[in-house]
Amino acid sequence: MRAFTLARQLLRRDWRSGELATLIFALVIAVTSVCAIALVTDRLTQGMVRESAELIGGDLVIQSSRAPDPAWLALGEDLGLATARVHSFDSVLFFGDNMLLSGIKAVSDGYPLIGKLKVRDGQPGSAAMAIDGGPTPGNAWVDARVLERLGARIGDRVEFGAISLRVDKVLSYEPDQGNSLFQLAPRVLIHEADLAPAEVLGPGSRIRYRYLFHGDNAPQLAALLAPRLSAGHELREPTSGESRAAEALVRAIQYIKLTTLLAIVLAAIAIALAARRYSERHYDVSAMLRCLGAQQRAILRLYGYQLLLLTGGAVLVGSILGWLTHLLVVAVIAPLLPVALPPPGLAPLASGAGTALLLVAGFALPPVLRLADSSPLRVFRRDLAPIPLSGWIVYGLAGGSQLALLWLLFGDVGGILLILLGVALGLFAIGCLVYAGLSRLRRAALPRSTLLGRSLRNLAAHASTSTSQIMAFGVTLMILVLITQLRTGLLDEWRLQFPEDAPNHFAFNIFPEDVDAFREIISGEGTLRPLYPVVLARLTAVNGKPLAVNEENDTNRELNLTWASTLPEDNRIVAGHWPPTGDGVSIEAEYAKRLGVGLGDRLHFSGASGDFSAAITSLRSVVWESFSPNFYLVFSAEQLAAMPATYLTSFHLAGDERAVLRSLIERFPATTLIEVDAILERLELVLRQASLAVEMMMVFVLLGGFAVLFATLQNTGDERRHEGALMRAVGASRGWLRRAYLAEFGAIGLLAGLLAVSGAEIASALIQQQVFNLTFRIQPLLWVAVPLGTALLVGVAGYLASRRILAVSPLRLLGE
Amino acid sequence: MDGGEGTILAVEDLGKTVTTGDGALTILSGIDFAIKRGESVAVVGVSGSGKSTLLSLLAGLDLPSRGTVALCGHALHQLDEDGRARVRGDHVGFVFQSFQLLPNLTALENTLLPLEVLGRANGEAEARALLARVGLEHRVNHYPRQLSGGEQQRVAIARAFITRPDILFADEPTGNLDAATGQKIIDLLFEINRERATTLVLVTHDNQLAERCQRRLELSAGTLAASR
Repeated sequence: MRAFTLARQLLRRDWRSGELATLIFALVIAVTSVCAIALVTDRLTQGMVRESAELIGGDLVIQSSRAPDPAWLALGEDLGLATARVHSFDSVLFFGDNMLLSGIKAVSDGYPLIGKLKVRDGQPGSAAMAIDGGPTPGNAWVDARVLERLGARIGDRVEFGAISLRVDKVLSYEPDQGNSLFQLAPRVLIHEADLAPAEVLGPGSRIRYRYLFHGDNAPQLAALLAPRLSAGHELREPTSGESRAAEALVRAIQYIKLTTLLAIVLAAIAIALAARRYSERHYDVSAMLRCLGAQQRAILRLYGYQLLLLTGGAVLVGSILGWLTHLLVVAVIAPLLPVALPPPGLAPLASGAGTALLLVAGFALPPVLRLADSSPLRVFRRDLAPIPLSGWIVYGLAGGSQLALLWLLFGDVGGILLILLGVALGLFAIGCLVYAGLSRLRRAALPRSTLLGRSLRNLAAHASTSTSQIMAFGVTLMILVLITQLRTGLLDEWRLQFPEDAPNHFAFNIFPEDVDAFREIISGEGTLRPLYPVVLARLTAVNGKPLAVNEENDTNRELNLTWASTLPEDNRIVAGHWPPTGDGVSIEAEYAKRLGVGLGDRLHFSGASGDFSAAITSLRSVVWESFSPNFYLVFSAEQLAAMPATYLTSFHLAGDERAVLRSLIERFPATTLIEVDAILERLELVLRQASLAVEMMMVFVLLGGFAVLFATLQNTGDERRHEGALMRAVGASRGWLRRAYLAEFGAIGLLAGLLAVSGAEIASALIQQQVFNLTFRIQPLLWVAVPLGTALLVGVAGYLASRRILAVSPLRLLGE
Repeated sequence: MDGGEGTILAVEDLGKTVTTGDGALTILSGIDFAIKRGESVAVVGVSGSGKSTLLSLLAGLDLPSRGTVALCGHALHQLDEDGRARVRGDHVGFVFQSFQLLPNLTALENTLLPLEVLGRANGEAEARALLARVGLEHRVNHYPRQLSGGEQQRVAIARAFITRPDILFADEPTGNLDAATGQKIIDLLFEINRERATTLVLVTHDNQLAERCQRRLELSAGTLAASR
C-alpha cells in the first residue's frame, strides 16, 4: 500500500512536469480507436445478422427436398425456440375458365418468425401495410399478378386442387423472399392446414420443405442437428455475409480495422519511445531509491503501480472518447443500413482496455523493467545505465502483444497476418529508401548559409529520427489522400466513361406475349438493348458427375439461361466457335474457370420442364459493367425455346422521359423494373459514406502520427536544448532559432507530403488502371497542396513543441 | 564607455545577485577591471568564488544585477538577449570545459557551425585549414564519438577561431582532460591565440595554467581579491 501511495505521488509529480503527456496521449489514441471500432463492428455485425436472419426466415433454417423429421421441430421447441414450417411448390389455380401456374407457399402458424408480411386490400393505389402472422386456413394471400392473370378480385374463391380458397389479401412483401427476382410463377400464400384436403401433393411432387427456428438457442440446436442431417438436408444460419448491405459495409469495416491497426502501431511506437524516455529520466530516482535501501522488487512494484495507474486513466478517458466516436461513425453509416442497429453493449469496451494493457505490456513494460536493475553506484557515476533487457524479451513482448491485438481486432490472425507482413515489408522498404535518401543528402553540397539548407542537413544528421517522423506522417497522409481521391474522384470518372445512352433501366419478367408491345413502347421513347429470353434451371452435374455444393452456391442457385444466335455487343469469343447449335452451350470464361470446365465438357441441368444437358462449344469474355443484359450460359434456340421463359432487357431513358415508366408499370404489372440510376446512386452513397467513416477513423492515425512526432521530439529534447544553447552562445538569436525549427519541421512535413502524394498517386494509378480500367490522370493541385499543407502543419506543430528549447539559456554550457 | 584606447573589455562596479528561497544571494560585487586587445588574462579562484558567473557576464551570456560591461564597444548590460547574441556572434569565441560538440555533426560541420548561424557561406576552406592547424586534417569527417577527449577539444578550438573572434573566452578548457593532453591543448590554444592576435580570457583553478597568461584576476567570495 505504501508503494502504491508513493507511486501515486511520483506519478502526480511527473504529470505536473508534462513528462507523461505523450505516453498518455498515445495510450488514449489506441484505446479510443479500438473502442470505437469494436463498438461499431459489434453493432453492425449484430444488425447484419438480424437482417440476414430475416432474409432466410429464422436464426436456423433446415431446408430440403425431402420432408425433415418432425422430431426436429420438437427439439427446437424444447430449447425454447419459436418454430414454423414452410412448404413451397408449384401448382395450378383455377378461376372460372382461367388457370394459372402459381408458386404455392404453405405456412404453419407462427410464420413469419422474423419480420412481417406486407399486404394490400386490393383497392387500386392502396398502400401496403405490415401485418402479423400469415393467412388462416381457407384463405389465400396472392401476388397482384395472380388477380390480373386470373381476372379475379379480392373476395373471389379460386380452386386449388380439391378445395377452394378465398382470395383474402394482395401480398406485396415476404420478409424471407431472399432474392427471388426471377420468381417465375406468381406467389400464393396459404395455410399449411389446407394442404392435405387439397390433395395436390403426391409422391414425386417437387416440394421444398423449410423448418424455421428463431431464438437465442439456435446455435445449440444447430450443433445438435448437424450430425443427424442427411445429404438432402441443408442447414442455414444467418451470417453477416448474407445481408444485402453486407458486402460494402464488411469491406468498409475491414478498412476501418486496418486503419485502427495503423493507429495502434503508431501509438505503440510513440508509447515505446515515451516509455524509454520515461525510464531514462527515472534512472537517477531509482538509483537513489536503491541507494536508500529499496529492493529491486520494491522498485518494480513502484513502477508497476505507476504503469497500472496510467493505463487505468487512459482506459477511462479512451473508453469515453471511443464511445462518442462510435456514435459519430454510426451516424455517418446509418443511411446505408436497412435495419436499425441494436443498442451498443459494454463488451466491446473490454477490447479497448485489453488493447491498453497489451500495448503497455508489449511496449512500455520492457524499458520500465530495466529500472529495477538501476545500479545504486549511478549516484556516483552518472554513466552507469541499467543493463538492457535481452533483445528476445523486448521483441518477444512487442511482437506477442501485436499478435494479440490482431486477434482482438480481427479474430483471425492468419489471414490478416499475411497482409500485414506485406504492408510491413512495404513500409520497411519505403523507410529504407527515405533513410538512404536522407543519408545521401548528408553528403550533398547543400548551401550552408540558408535556413533550408541547414534544416535539410540537420534532418540528414538525425537520419533515423527524421525517417521515423517522415514515415509516421507520410504513410498516414498517403492513405488519407488515397481514400479521399478514391472517394471523390473515382466514381465521377467511372460515370464519365459511360456513353450518354448507356442503359439506366433493367426490366425482368417480361412475358413472351408482351415482348412486342414492350419493345414498341421503349423504342419510341429511349434506346433499347436486345430482349433476351430467360429460362430458369439448376446446374446439377458436370460430365455425368453430380456437383458438390461449392462456396459460391453455383449449384444450388437457379441460373438464368438464355438462347441467342447473335453475339451480344460486349461479348468476345475467347475459345471455340459461335453461335451454339444443337445441344451446344457458350459459357462465360470466368464462370467456366470457377466450375473447372472447358470446351467439350458436358453440363447437366434440371429445369421446370425436366432435365437436359449441353456440351460447351465456346468460352466468352463479358464486360459485366456495361449494364447490358449478360449471361453466364447462352444456348441454341432449338434447345431452350420449348421451355417456359420470360424476357429481360435493359434500356436508356432520359431524365425527362421517366413518365414512360409509369405507363410501363401500369401496362405490364408483372414486370420488374430496376432503375440502375438508383442503384448507382446507392452505390455512390455507400462508397462515400463508408469512406467518410474510414476517413473519420484516419483522424486517429493522424493523431498517432503526432504522438510519434512529439515522442521523438521529447526523446531528442535534451540534445536539442543543448544544441539550442550552443547556437545561442555562438551568436544565434531566438528569432533565428525559431526560423530554424520552423524550417526543419517544415522540411519534415514537406518530405512527408511528397512521400504521401507520390505513394497515393502511384497506388491510385494502379487501382484505376488495373481494377477499374480507367485512364489515370495526374493531379497537379495535389502535388502542390499536400506537401505545402503538411509542411505548414508539421512545421507549426514542431515549432510549438520546440518552444521550451528556446527558453534554455546558453549559461548551461558553462561549468558542465 | 570604452575603457580607453586599445581596451576591448571594460567592467565597472559589476555585481550579480540572485534570489533564492532564503533571500538574496550575492555572487559577485564591486568588480572593476579592463582588458586590452591581444592581452591574455586568467580568472582564477576556488570553486564557488564566482569565476563562471563572471565569465557569463563578460561574454554576455547573462545580465549583471548592477554595473556595466563594455565588450568591443558594446554596452552589453543595455542590450537584450538577441542584441548580445549578435555581439557574441560578431566578436566572441568560446572554448568550454566539456567541449560542447554536437554529436550528430562531423568535426568539419561542428567547426562550421558558428558561420552557419551568422549566415556566412564560404568557410569550408578556412575550417579545413583550422582543423589541420589543430592537427586533425585526417579526421575532418569523424563524429565526436569517434574522437578522443583531446581531439574533441581541438575541434572546439578550431570552432572557436573560425569566426576570427576579437576575444576568446575559455572556461576550464583542460578540466575534462588528463594532464599531458591538457598541456598540449593549452599549448595549442596559446599558439593560435598568438598567431591571430586574439584577446584571451581564461577561467581556471589551475595556477600553473594561469601563470602562462599575461595577467591574472583572482576572485574570492565574489570580489576581486587581486589583479596582477
